[in-house]
Amino acid sequence: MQGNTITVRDSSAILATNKLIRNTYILLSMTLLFSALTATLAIALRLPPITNLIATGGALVLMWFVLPRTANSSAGIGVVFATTGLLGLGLGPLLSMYLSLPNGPQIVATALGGTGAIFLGLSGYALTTKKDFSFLGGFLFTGFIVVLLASLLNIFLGIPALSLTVSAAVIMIMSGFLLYQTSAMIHGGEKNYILATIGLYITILNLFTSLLHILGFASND
Amino acid sequence: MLPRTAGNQGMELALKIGTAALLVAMLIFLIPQAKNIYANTRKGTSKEWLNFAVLTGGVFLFVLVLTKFV
Repeated sequence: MQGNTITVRDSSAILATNKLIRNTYILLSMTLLFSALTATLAIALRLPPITNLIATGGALVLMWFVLPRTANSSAGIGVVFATTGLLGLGLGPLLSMYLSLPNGPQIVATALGGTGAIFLGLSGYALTTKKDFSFLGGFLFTGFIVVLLASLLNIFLGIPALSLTVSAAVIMIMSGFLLYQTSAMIHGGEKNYILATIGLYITILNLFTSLLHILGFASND
Repeated sequence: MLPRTAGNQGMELALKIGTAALLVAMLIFLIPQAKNIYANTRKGTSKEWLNFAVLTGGVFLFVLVLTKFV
């Protein structure tokens, strides 16, 4: 009898985890498509670089103050789309800048493909091995704070080598976040698919922009 | 040409100040969360850290390969 109860609990937990993973990846793919649409719109309208700053600021306000209150309701889905749409819009001017380079389309395509490969590889690894990467939390958040401090310093110093180092560090940290977040979905650390989606989206966006920066630098343009 | 250059410099400065303000806001928001997560994270074993190092090393090599394509 007790064995049956445990089996029922186990299977319901597995079903809940599978539902969380499926919902997260469906919403993530929809938000990625939506932000690609808003980024294309920003490129077509030739929006100025300040758009990035305004859109990112707006997205952060939504993410920090609105999303936590709406994450458990259907309104949360609208907030996720608004947030990712704004971030896509902000990405537009950056993409315009890279696309105007002689081999710009190649750089953007390589960064896009590279981000996809890293995401699929690491998420696939965490999903198939079911390893627990929760031990990375403190290290990743501390590393991200250090990266933010270095970025802040480099705004005024403008050292290209430091900028490149920050981008490389962001790629490593975001790779860790991919493992951490995917593992959190499997092991019960994250139970809300809206919050899981926004976490993965931000990680993918950071990976893409940092890879774009490194590839732009590597192409000597 | 002078007014245009001055305008560009002004815009560049505004972008720098705006970006710095965003980063400071992120730091103010994230530092307490980071402290909390750091305090409540379980310790990883040396095998787990090695596994993570191998994976990130793989990502590093992959990025290095990508740079050869552009």
